[in-house]
Amino acid sequence: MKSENTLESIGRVPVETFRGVVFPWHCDAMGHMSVQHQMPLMDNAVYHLLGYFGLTAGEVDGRNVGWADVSHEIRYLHELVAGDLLVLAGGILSVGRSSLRHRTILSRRPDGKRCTILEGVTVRFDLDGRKATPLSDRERGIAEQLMLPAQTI
Amino acid sequence: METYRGVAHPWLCDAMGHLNTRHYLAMFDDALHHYVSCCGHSFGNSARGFADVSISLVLRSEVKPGSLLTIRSETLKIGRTSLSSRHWMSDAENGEARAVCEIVSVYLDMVERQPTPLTATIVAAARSLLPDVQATEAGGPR
Repeated sequence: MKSENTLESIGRVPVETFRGVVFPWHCDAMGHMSVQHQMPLMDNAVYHLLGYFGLTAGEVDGRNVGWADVSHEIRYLHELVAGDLLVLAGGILSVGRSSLRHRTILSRRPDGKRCTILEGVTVRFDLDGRKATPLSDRERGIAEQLMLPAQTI
Repeated sequence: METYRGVAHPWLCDAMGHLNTRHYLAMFDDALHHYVSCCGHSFGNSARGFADVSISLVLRSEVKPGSLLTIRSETLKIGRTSLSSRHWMSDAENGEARAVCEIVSVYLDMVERQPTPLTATIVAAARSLLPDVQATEAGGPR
């Protein structure tokens, strides 16, 4: 079966990486979606973004590697309430020696209002050495394809 | 001030064999609830609440399955309608730093859904949680 997450399948960036719905049990005493329930959606979205690079954890480009988050910056721009439909999309902001800086935008349907923006730094992670390891040339090429256009930044 | 104590259970860990990022945020969010409670906010007050505006999370070292974790919290800055707080996650067994989270939260008018000025009670309590004040009250630096 052909994988959906291929370089050829990358369309317009930001690429859609997740969809979700706000349920009442995601909401806190303030009557809005709790930050701790937004985070799994954004984490799932980053997993799907990183899915373009190959296996999440395992043998990739001859190395036993995964990913490890180093930092997150999250801005909450607008409240979300039960029943809201969510679309998450993302792309790459910059590429380091072993790290990717990426952005995920969580928007509400149907008005497309940007509610939450996550910027994260994630390193390619050597699962045996438990430390960051350089991105391969192939991974750099994929990151280039996933670069966010200036007008979306 | 300690605001959280928990365990990095295996089901909170991911394919990399360490605590997944989303669960750090849940722990820090719980710690924030305890922090604002210590600042004098009652979650029984349906007219006022807190809403987060931004979160900055730095992951310093891996948290392995089974690790015992604590979070200590302090006030960073007191604004007109906002509180900035910092939360330190450490391994409870060896004290090693695991992650640091800074959160900016606004005091929320729950009807208007708009920021509203902090009360004098909250300002005074938040001030007592500034790092210098906490250290003084504890008889020295932590």
